[in-house]
Amino acid sequence: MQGSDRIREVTCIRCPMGCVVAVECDGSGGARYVQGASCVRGREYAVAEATAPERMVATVIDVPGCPEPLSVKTERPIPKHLVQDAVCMAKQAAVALPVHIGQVIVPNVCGTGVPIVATKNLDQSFASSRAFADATTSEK
Amino acid sequence: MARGETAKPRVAVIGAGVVGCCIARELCRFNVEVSVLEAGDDLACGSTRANSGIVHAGFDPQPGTLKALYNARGSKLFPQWADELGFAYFRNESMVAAFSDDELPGLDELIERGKANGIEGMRLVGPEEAKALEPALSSDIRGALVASTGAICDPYGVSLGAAENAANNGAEFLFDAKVVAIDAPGAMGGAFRIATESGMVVEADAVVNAAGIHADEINNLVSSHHLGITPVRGEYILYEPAMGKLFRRTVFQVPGPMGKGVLVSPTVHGNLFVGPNAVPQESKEDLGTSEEGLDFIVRQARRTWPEASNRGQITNFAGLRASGKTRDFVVGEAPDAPRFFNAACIDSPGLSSAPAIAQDIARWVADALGASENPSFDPIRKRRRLLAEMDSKEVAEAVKRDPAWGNIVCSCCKVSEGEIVAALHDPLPVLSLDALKWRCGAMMGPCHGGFCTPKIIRIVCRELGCAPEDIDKRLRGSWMVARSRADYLEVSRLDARGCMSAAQDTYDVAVVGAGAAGMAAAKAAARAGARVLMVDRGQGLGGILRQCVHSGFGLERFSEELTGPEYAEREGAAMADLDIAVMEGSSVVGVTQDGAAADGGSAFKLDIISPAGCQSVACRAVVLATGSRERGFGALNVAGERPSGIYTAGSAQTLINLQGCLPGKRAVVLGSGDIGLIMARRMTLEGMEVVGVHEIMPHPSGLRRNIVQCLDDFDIPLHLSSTVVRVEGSTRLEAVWVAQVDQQTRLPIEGSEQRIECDTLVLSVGLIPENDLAKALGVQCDPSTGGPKVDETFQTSVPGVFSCGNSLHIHDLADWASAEGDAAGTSAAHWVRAGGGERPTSISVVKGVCVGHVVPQWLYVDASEANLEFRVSAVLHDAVFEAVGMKDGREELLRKRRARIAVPAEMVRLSLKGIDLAKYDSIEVRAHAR
Repeated sequence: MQGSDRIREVTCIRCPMGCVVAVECDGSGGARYVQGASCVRGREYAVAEATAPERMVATVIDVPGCPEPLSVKTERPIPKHLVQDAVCMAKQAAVALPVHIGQVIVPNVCGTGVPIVATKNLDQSFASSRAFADATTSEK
Repeated sequence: MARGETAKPRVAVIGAGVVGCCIARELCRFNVEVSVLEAGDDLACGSTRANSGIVHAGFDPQPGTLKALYNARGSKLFPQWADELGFAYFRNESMVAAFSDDELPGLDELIERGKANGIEGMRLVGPEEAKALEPALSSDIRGALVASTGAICDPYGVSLGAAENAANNGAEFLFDAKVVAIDAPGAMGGAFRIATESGMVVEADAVVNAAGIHADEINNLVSSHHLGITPVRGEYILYEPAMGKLFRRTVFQVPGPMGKGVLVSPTVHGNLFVGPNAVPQESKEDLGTSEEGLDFIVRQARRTWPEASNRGQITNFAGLRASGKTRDFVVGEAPDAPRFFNAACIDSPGLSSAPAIAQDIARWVADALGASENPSFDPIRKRRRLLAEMDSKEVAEAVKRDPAWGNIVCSCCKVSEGEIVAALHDPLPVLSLDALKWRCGAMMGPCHGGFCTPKIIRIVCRELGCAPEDIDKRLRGSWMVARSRADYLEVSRLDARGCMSAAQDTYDVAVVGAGAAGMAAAKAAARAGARVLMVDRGQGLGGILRQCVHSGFGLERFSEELTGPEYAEREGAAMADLDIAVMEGSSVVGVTQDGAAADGGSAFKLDIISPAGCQSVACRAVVLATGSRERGFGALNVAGERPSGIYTAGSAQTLINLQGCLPGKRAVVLGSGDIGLIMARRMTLEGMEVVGVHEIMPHPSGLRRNIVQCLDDFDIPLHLSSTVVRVEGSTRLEAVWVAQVDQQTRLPIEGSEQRIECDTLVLSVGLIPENDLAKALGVQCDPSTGGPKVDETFQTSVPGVFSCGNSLHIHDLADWASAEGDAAGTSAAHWVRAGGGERPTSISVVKGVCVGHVVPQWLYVDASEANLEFRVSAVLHDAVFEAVGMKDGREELLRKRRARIAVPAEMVRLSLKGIDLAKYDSIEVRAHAR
């Protein structure tokens, strides 16, 4: 069973079928579809997942002076093994109000060339002192 | 504590249960200084807390006992005490029901005992009258005793009323003051020296022992006439308020050789409960319920109420009764310890007796100390009125005085920030979230605090100047949050507060809820020419999308993968150019239908509260997009104690994503719903350890994508056919017990139990459409969806009321909720423009084999097209979906579609086009595996 440790099983997530697809890795970063997929999309997914799995990363970071954390994400998927590192990098970023959606928080996360961007608008509309000290009434 | 000659004598009361609080209050009638020493961190944290809440008429105790004496006197004092102290008390009458002829003599015996005890207002009724009085009674009823002075009360409320009254009259309350030693005065006289565990010493001229389950230990520190108390566990099951009206009276069973029987009773909060059993135990701390105990009380309760089951259950809990050796109370001065008074061995009917015991003890103490009456004693405690009790004028005034009263924090129970802040600054300190819950009623509703607990944690921190890590749920050590940001307290003072009052008093369409469905509905209605108002209780648009920071939204609607906040922003941005008035931070607390509907006038009136004030807005159509709430722990019938650390996935998500707090360190997830899976990943990324996910069904309830990317990626195991059967931990959760589940019976398999250490249990066990407003409007609901029944225009059974999104039925994707909002908003605008009017004939859509639910439930016969949305009830490979027209028992296949697979986690859609629906009586939707 020389080749069996090169066979990897990948659960396809392209549709609810959840096919378990077998893929043979060639040991140098490539892979070949073996069996188990019900469609072409499944074959492609499994090979990609076995050779270069990628994930979107989303987390939140604290912004000084803002009670609500800022939600952020990688603009594109990054290599799966960098997910936790990306979260750590995001948490270390220094951010000041105001922040707008799409604003770059970390320009190049873990050398991937992918930026981490804000996914929420946060401004300074936080009143000071106790609740509703200056509850304002406005009309749209 | 050196005291001068002229100082008033000091009395120490040990224990702040209902008896201790009542005694403290009565002592204030005399010129003494009162100090109450309580081991716990709140009033009523022992036997008083988990109690039936019955004020017994007094026919049950053996004549001649102290129990008979004090019950009769106490019960008579209750109405006056309720008036003076402002606690909930309701004379709902007690009934003792006989369900066999053998039990009938027992009723006569009780009548005789009652007469001997001086109880009035008792009568025997026959089976017909009993059944007429209580229609939910078992038809086995043979006869009953009815006692008109039987009543129910809120035991915490009695304690709080008495304690606050005492505090206002000068009594001091010391919490976390567990008494460990008492030096009695020597032969030369002098004072008692009472030492607490924390090293505090209190000197007192007289001591009252009201230490509940520990009263034997306190007595034995001082007196050689030793007492012994056996803790007797009593377990209870509490049902939702909807069931509170099943019984008006407290119904007892006839005491017999098999025990006293369990009772079925409404509570003053409007719920129904069954219980208790009576299980003697060693431990004075273990308040865990047991599977056997819960099973026993349901089975026993069925004699009275045959429908008793786990359905509608919102929690179970256990209390300990302090049962003395003689079975009677021990009340009075210890024979060998002058000025040391016992109110000990107070089990049932202790609550009923408390006011009378308090009067006697206070008088004896005063006599022993030679204390005169206190002329300035004020017996009245002015209770703060709750927002939920106020009429609209009072509410308006309260909000005007303090805008915080317009910020509804607990939506279920309508509790405002103003009340929470006021309770936090009351004379009796609030040292736990449960104390706050009992004092202002927040977190008591059907969501069990799922929505409001994170908000309340923030308010508590801000008001008391503490960190979230310092907050306990109910006892010292029952922490809520493991970690928070360093500047939490600082930023908690900076909460966002945009709130607007409605620009006008009248709109065409009012949309309630600004989540995915609500925003879409508001825009669609405005685009169709309607003047639209959108109201949401949250700050910022988007509803639950705002806390869903993960990506996976928008693929259907925007052909782009977005995070929740981005999706909300995208929807909100498109709103700016439309004629939509938006009220954020505003709660719709009432909705009524106007008579003018038929004339095409303003049909509905919404009562809206916000920090800006109260407003009534009229509109011609309402779109309800009120979302859903999470099924809570209480509904799961899990045995054990009630530690902190049990969160719904949504609450954990709010804490982490909107407040930057970590709920714990090591978590187990129960239920494989999508939010649970998403949270397993979020918690892992935030540094928590997620031990595993347990799913009671043989298949996951969440999407495959989430199983792979949230669990597999992080090596988090998913255990199918597995559930939590018991939780462990008297303060914070310490472990859960999981068991394999038999798929036939859905019951845990004996012997498969396993203990998993964890400090956090995250629940993802289903969402329940939130439809309080729909119900207030009399909208017909579908038990299989939990939401209103609608037609293909998303109109409910009440003309002019539309429903969409998760309040209609639970969606797998926000995109579909938005699509529904589009349709509902458009329909509402068209309906208004058409001036309401008669609706065409409709036929019903019914669920067939393998279909869990289907929406819409009606189709107009002239509908040109309709989308049927449904979920299959089991995993189907090579699935076939069919819509079948039914007419006079014949079937006609109208539409058929195949799919490789169908899973309950994903909604299935089937469209009908160009079919003459008038030809059929109904449409059935089915699914099967090929």
